[in-house]
Amino acid sequence: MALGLSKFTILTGTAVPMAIVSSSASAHAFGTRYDLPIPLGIYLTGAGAAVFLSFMVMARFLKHRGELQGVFQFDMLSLPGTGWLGSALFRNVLGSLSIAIFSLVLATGFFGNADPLKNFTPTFVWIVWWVGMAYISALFGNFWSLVNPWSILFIWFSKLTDNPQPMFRYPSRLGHWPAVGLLFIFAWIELVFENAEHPPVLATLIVVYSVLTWVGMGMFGRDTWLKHCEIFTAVFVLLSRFAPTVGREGQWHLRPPAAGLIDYRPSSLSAVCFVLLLLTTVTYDGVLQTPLWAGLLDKAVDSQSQSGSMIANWNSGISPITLIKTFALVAIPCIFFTVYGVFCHAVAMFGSSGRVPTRDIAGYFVLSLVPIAIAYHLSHYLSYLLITGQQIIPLASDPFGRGWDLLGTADYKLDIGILNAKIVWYVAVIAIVIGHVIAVYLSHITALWVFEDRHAALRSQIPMLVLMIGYTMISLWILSQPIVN
Amino acid sequence: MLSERRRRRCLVEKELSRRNYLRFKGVLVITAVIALFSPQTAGAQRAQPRIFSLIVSQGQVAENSRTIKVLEGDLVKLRWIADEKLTLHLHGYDITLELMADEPGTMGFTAHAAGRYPVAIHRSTDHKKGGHHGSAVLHVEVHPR
Repeated sequence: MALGLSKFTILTGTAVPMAIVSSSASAHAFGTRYDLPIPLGIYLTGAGAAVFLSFMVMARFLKHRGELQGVFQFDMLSLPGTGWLGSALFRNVLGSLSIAIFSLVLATGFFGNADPLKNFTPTFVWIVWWVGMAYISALFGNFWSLVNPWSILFIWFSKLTDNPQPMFRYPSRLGHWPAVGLLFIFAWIELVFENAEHPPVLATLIVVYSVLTWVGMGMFGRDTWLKHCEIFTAVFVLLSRFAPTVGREGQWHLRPPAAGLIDYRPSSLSAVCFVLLLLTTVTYDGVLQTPLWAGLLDKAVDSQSQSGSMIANWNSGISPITLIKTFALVAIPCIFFTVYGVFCHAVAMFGSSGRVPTRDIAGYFVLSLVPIAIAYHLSHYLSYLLITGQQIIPLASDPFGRGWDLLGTADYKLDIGILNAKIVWYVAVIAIVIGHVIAVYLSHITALWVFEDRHAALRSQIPMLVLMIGYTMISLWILSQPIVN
Repeated sequence: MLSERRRRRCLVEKELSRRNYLRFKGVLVITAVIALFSPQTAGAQRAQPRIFSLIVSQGQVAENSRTIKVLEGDLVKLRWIADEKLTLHLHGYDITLELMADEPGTMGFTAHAAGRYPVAIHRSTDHKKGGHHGSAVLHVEVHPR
């Protein structure tokens, strides 16, 4: 109906600006959000703290004389009473639970109530899994690899058919490009596609992606596909590099947060693109809900409707809003990529007068931006996860939306007072400032590794610091804007 | 003789009813005073309701009332009148109000949770999408104290 309104506006030519502003459907795939914008005072304090602490980190490195040291880690499974966490039985139980939920998501998607709010699938997929798993990955560890249903089902199938060998060798020059392409499509479905909340559509998309994944795994081998092409493994593994735990060869290590983001080899160009695309989609989601964007969208639709070209598009079945959002989803990562490239070039010039190629610099420093994105993501979605996410409680009792009450929770009403607004503000700003400081710190560590001496490393960090402060300011600014649904 | 007695009785009754009335008034005043100072009802009684009158015309309200700001704990009354039959839904607090054309209606609630809540218009033609994503006609911002 959002579209119906703008269609009406365009066709009749009586473009009422606010009608389109208020009708631009919510940017995120599903659910309403009730966040209050961060007040100016807290916003400015956060911004000031980010700048001040950046220079504190820099000052620390001015005095820093030690060599780079290995990172502390400790195997938690060596503690008494924790051995069962690493057992095959525990993994199988987790895996079976995951397959049960995966089957339920498909069943309710295809056969459940068509109302997205009365169906288990949209709430589970968009809030509990997509947003929730990002939290788990970033704050606890790489849980996704234990419960990835595509991987588990493929293993089960392989065991039944005597472990068939992969048919082809993965062409190494493809790198992570398939994951970049698939992530773009996924982002489009999440942030632009209007029907992503409709259970049968969502279930169909899951089936399509499942078939693609299994065919890919069959062709190139499970591990290769997971590493280079499976979007969610790529996303959650990237986020879990920030986490304070890491699983490795039957061990489960505790480590300092963000230690996993230190990499002494530059990422490939495709990996850089993947990280930057993921970072921009997180920002894009926020930007699309600001009044500034609503105003721009409104102007664009307005001018297009006057020139008449949109009417042609409308008649061909493409909504002008979808078109503009798609354009923005292409344009914003391109802008971000260009800005990052320019700053990396500056880092190369400041630190080594261009001896280290810009392409390598981009590969070395891209991971140090991740903590800012994680902090922004966690702040942006905190109340969405904890308030809108409560829908899963009644839906667990009535997954098909047929009036069942399996667990006795079908009548649960959302508690919108569960989070104190002031606490949400402080958590958001503190998280972003901490994320920023960690980013600056990681970037310094990397610079000490990449450049010849301490002075060159410090010089190189001047442009990087400007980039990071800019990125943090944009994140804070979005949180200070009222959300326009 | 008989009429005299009746007249007197009439006076007595009048006097009695006046006393009853006074006593009733006294009780009323005392109750009001207790209500005013007793802790349980203090919040609800003391807070003046924040009343907003909103006119929906062609699916929109006036530019200056698209964001309504109140404080946590306020008693809020939104008085609506619209030029067509429609259903208004205050998200979060989950209050639904059905309006007939040109007939006023009121949404009343205590703003117990801070946040920014849209009021959406659902028309009968919106059933196709489950009727839950109507356009937001305004936002109620409940700010923490």
